[in-house]
Amino acid sequence: MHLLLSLITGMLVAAGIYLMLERHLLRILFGFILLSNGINLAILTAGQLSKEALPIIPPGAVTLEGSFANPLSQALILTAIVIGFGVLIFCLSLTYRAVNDSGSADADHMDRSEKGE
Amino acid sequence: MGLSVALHLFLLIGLWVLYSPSGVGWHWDWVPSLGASFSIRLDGLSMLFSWLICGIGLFVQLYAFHYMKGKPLSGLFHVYLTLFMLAMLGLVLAGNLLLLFIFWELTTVTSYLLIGFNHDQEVSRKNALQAMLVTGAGGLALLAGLILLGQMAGTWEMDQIINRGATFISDKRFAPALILILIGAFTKSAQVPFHFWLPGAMSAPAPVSAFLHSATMVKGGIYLLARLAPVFSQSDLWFWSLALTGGITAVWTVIVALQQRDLKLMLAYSTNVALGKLVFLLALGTRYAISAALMFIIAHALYKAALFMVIGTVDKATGTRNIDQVAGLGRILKFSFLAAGLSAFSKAGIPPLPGFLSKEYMYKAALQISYAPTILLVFVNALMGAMALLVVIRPFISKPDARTVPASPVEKYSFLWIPPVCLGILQLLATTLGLQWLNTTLIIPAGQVIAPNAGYESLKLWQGLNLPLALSGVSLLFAFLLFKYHTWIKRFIDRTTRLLPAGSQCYEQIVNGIIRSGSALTSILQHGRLTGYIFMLFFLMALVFLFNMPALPMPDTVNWQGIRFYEVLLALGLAAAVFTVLLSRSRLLAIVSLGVAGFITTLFLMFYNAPDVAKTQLLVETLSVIFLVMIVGRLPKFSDVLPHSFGKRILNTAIAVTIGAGVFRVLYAMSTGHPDTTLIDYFAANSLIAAHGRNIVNVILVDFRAIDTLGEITVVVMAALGASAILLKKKRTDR
Amino acid sequence: MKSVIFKTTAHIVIGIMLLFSLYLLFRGHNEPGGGFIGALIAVIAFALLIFSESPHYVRKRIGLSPGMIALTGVGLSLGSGFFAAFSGKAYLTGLWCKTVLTLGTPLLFDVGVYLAVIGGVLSILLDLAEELL
Repeated sequence: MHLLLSLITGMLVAAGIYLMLERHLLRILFGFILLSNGINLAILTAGQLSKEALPIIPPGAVTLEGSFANPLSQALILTAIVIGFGVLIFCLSLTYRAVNDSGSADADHMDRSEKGE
Repeated sequence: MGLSVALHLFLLIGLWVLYSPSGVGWHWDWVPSLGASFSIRLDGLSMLFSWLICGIGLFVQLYAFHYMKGKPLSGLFHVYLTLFMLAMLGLVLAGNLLLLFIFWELTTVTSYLLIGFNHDQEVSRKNALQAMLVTGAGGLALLAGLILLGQMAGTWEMDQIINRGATFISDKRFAPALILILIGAFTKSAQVPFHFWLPGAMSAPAPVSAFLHSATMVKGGIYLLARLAPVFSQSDLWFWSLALTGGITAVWTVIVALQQRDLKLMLAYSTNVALGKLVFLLALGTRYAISAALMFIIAHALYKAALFMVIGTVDKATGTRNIDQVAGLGRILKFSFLAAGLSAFSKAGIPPLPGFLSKEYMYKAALQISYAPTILLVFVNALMGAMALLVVIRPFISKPDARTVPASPVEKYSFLWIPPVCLGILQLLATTLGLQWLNTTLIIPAGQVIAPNAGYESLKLWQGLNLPLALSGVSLLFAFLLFKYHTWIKRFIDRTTRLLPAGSQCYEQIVNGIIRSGSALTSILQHGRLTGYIFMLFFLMALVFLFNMPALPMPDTVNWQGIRFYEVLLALGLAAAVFTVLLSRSRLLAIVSLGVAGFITTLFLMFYNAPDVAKTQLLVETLSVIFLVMIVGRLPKFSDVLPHSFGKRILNTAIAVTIGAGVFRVLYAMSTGHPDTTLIDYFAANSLIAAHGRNIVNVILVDFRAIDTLGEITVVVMAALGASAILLKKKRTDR
Repeated sequence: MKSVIFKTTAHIVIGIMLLFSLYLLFRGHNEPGGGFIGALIAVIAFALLIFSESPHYVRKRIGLSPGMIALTGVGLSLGSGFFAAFSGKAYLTGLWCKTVLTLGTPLLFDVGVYLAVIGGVLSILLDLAEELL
């Protein structure tokens, strides 16, 4: 199962990066989303996979014993998802503004705003 | 202003009360963890320098009272001067290497303020910056050198370093430390090839030049060399670098000095000459050489300060410093004439002035070694003598001619002549009545600091008829001849040196080169194309993966265990969705496929027991699709933007596949390792007992690692506020 | 698009979703759920309302500016740590009061997260919707 998850993650990362290297702003954003998904899976895989038990202490028990899913990597992913989402909607508004102002969604034409035109 | 004079007097007397020739020290802890302490050392060498600093400082302040009167910010000028004096004093009194370095840099900064005091003039600003850059760069080298020295010794206290000094020579850090410290000292003391900043510093007001060139700033480097001589002087590297640098500096700058027409510049170059001679003498390191050096430090400080003041007065009286335009001033500026005469005689080496005495011992030291240094010293001294005569005879004695500018009688302001005359009289006293006192209180104790085992004897003015005396006579004779045929010699020098590059030009080339290459680099890296930035980022990342991938461990056998059939199906579905996003020409189809990819990811999260994550991912995916669908109608179609060229797309694919494969390799390599479960076990054991929660993930977020979450929600809120601002701007501009 | 049936069902569903989001928030400490998830559900509920009515309507019904909600949330989370700081423990250490219910500062912290995420995301959503719809 490690093998499969590693493969999926590699594929998501590669696709994300390919899209981020494109010129259309929307495709760059798509790449960002795929890359975020890939990185989240990467954290999950790096924290060791487990199908045995939830990281929740069952009723009646006081501590969690035996084999269970890694709660730390889950907490990290949770944080990463929410931050990634915040950044994504920020980028969305930025893209919208940039396209509106420059009339083009070509990333190579964005330098006009830097040159103050 | 009276305050600063009082401070100088207080320091002079205070130092005298505290001083004893065997040396005293005080110590306060400052930053004990770094070994930096505020320790003060007052021995013969420090005392010699600090008295010169305070004494000359006092006269300079007095002189500046009138010289700067009526100029804007003259009060500030005295403050700067006092600050500089204190920094210099700290430098020569510091007993700790780190403290010494701090004062060293403070002198650089405060001298910048002084040199650039006439900041409304461009040349003044430029030269001040040049002085600061050159000495500041040297300061960096010095810092590195001092750190190496401190590491060799295992302490920053100078007493201990000097005590252990003899053992360092076998250390492999010895030579680098020496070279770096020498660079620092040579930049400060304006040795070739760093000599050019000192004449440039001439754009400062006259009192500053009088102070900087005589007892302070440039003597900082000499002080450092003298102070560290016991550590380094046994090495050949020390001898040769000091002897060659000092010798070249003295010879070269004395030639340049003779070319000048500006009196002040002439004096400035002669300071370079004096410093070169001092470095040369320190290289020789015998008892005669060190006695001569110490005497010369005193002599030079006194005559150079007086001469700069006199030139300042001449400038005030006539408005020019060109040697061809001033003449016959002897009748108008009587006192200045007196001071200039005494100082110039000392400089030329006419008995019984201090300059003569130091020259006697210089020759003595040189004759002990060989004829080469003797010839060098005779040559340099003859040219110095000629210059001394030029500086005093031309402006004061020679007859006025058509080019002469009339002078006004500025000596009615007593502050303009009292300080130089006092300095002149001090010179007369120093080697006659005060010689014995100088010997026992300053020169011999200071000499013992520089070379402890040299066995000093008192300097004597009359030592009978001998070779050094004859050499003195020879150099005086040459000086007179050179003075006589000065115009002819100047023409000759002009013709021969025209082809050589000037130091300040090299400096400008270097500074311009740095600025140019900086802007060239910026225009390469900051080209303003977003795709270029992203490309560079991932390209470098791909390179990192490419070069490190072979080193990653790989599991021995491929592990197919635990992979269910439906998982493979889902993975294939995910691949299909991802490829649809990659290839689709329709925006809406791409968004839908993106959503599908996200939901399949969610399923995988679900399989691997991450319910909280899966839920969050699901909701975020939903919201992302909502946002994307809202916005997509307002964006141009994919076909509206030109795709990359075919070759570029191939390259991009290669980069993406490399990184993807790299991530796969890293993750797959991790399956073989055993994770550190310390934290996980802790969380599992304490989640309910200590934090009263069964959902460990949530407990980590809101309790164990709450501060991370706090940072995270701050980011989200900031992103929201930023996005609002972006959209709000649009609304405003619409109105 | 804005049919009567859509509007009416939206109002009912939104009420249920908001309740559910609060439920997820408070049970999060022991079972799957928590501030993030609760907040995202609430935002989706508001999104439904935005599409069925109008952004302006939602703004009026909420009454508070979303930016203020977000800042209040960050303030709550920040503030919850000071209880421990003032009682001599490390900042953000959980303090609990066990009576009938188990209440503690981590719960307050989670409520802060909930409000911050709702406020932040809703603020952009409303701005964009006003701009685009």
